[in-house]
Amino acid sequence: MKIRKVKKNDYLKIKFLFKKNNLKFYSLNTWYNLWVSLKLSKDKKNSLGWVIEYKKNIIGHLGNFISYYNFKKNKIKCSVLNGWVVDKKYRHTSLALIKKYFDQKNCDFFYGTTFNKDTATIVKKFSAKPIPVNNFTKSYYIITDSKKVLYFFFRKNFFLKKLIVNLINFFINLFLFYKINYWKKEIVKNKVVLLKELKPDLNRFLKKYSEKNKKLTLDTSTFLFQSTLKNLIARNKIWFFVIYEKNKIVGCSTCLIYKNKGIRASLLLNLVAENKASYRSLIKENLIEAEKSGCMYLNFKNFSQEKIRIVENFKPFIKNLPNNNFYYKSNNITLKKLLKKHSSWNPSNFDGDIIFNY
Amino acid sequence: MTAKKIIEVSIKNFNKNNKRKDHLVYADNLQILGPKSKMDSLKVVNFFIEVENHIKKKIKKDLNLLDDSFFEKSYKFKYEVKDLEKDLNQKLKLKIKLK
Repeated sequence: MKIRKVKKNDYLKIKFLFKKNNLKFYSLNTWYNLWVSLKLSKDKKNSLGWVIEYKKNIIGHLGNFISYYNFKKNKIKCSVLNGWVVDKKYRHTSLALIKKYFDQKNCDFFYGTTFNKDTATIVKKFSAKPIPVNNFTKSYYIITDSKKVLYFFFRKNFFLKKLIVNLINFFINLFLFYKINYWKKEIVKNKVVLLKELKPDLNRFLKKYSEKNKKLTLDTSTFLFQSTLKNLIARNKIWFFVIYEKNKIVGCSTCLIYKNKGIRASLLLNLVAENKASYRSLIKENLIEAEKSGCMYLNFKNFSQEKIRIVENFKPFIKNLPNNNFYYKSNNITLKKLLKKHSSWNPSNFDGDIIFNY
Repeated sequence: MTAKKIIEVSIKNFNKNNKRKDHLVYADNLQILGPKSKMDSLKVVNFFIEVENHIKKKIKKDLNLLDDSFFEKSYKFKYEVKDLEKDLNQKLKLKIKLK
């Protein structure tokens, strides 16, 4: 049994390991982008993770890639943990993988998203801390097509399915009409523009927002992030909304379309604005676009408390998310102090590897 | 309090929080990590947390058992209770000396 760095040609073996453990690994395109990004970094110490090899098979994997964050006019190097999987029989070896990850010396902080209770216990033992934003264990849904939600719950075919779904939908709309349609009352006060392509202004706006508000915000101009977004745009899976005031961007959002068990749904990936009215306008426009695109709902999760409070004004449905803890660790004393404050964080679904999974 | 006693009490506490099939029985050659170990990573971490908490409570010392020396030993071959006992004795002595 040996631990070594991930190699480019490990893709199929890692994918097999994931499949064996009922998990989905990245697409070949994402894998390729990760390797190009590693090559572009020119830092030989960087690695795309580690694997445990036993009798020429890969029995464990922990992925790692470098992201950059803007924070107070500084560029901060972050090592993102992903794809931590070890075959059940060899689970005791997963400690060796996480040790390799936290032993890296060439990054400012470590960051991992969507830990379950067990993996959270392990990373905590390595002095990782939960990010001080406390609403990550809830997911918020605003329904844009109640009939599709019913089809989501009744996925199996049965006699008179269409009739029964229509009947239930009638009663749901009768009793929950106010809650389901509440978002439609919102009046958009800003000039909101729909974009289906990437504009450099957006990166500049996010950077400025980070500087002005002293918040840790992902640098979206990196090759890895840009290529991932371009890929999603090419597949018609993403849209952007931008708010202009006096020809300047004052707010933007990114929304993703995906299929949840075969039914179209949408997830707000990022939401940044300079004032409450802009936030509300962006949410409303995203809801309209989600409805037009045939999505059953628009999902909000992994945002800071202030943004969630605005979402709550739209009377969303709430679901608990028990396995959704974000953890970080920094060995840099100054950064450590800053990251303890909840005001330093601007979490979104751009963080970690969430976006790579679609 | 000896290292042996600390481990015995920690095993007792660990067993209270785990299913019967995962219970540990004290023995010098009980493998914490290794091919014959019953524990996965989470259980190893939980067991070490038990030991560390017990030391903190009784001896008022903060120890980290998942350090470099543990990883050096454990991933070459195996890590048994007797290794933990040895490590504990060393670390506790060092802590007292430093004090």
